[in-house]
Amino acid sequence: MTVADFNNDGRLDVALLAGRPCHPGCGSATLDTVWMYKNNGGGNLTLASQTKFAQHAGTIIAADINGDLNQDLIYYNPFAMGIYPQLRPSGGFQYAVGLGNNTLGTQGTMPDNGWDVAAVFRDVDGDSRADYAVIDWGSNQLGIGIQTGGYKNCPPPNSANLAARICGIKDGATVTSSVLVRASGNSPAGVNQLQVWIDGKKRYVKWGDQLAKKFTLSSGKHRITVTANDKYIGWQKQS
Amino acid sequence: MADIGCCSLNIYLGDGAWNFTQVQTIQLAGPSSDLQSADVNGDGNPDLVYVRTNYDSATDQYSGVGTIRWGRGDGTFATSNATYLKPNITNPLDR
Repeated sequence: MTVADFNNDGRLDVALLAGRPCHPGCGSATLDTVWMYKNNGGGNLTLASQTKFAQHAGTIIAADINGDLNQDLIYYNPFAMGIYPQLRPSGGFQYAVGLGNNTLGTQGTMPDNGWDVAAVFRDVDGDSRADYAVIDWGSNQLGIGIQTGGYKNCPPPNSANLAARICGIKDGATVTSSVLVRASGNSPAGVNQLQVWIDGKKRYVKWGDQLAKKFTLSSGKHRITVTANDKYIGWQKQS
Repeated sequence: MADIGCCSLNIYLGDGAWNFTQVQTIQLAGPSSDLQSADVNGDGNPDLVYVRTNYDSATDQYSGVGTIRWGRGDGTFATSNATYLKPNITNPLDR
């Protein structure tokens, strides 16, 4: 199970996996299915989609692996019965691309070492795209996967301090149509939410450390502020 | 801090100096795992999300139910109005 905003409405949705955390071939082949629940607000959640994974699944992780600013799902089979990781004959981490509406699209395989027991996804080279690190139980190795494809958005500030960065519109710029705000955030532990405030009013919430959003504004001067929120140490902003 | 197992959910409040005091125990209907914290309903209070496993002894089958315990904001969580996410699983989970 994992919690993330799978439709970019600012509310946290829930993805629930009925997997097979056991040896290859175990369990019913009708499992390895994920149910996506849409958060309607006020504590109400409804089933939005049901997707059958192509491979054996034990754990799901939410991350934006293709840089389209929609949360994707990555799945793998870390332990069988809590004892041994299992070699995946099909190879590697699997992914299902999130479509930004609580549904999943294309599925595929990510490179790894097979006996993976833990993984974390984060932009570690500052190009705005999520990379990943995996622990391989079989070889006692830590593997690092650097994203070389996918979309780029807004290179984040370095991770030394909590900070927000606006990339998409220059200070004092004059625009004649809708305003595209591109922004990012970073911190030692990682930014989990960005917010766009326009003229002192909160206009958009994006769970994650990258955002791109168009706004239609009335003629005149406006002040755009992006806040980056870290769940441990608070928030910082750039205007 | 919250920990979970079979078959209770235990809540501990920290004092910032590595001391934790248990403030609540919620009895659960079955073995549970995959515990996470998030403010799902946006009321400003962190909620707890986990998966509870149901066992049907008549059929020797397991099924999982996503469960949300709504946070009250004082370090405790609702015991009577949890939200359950029930996928339509007709096959047993492999144990």
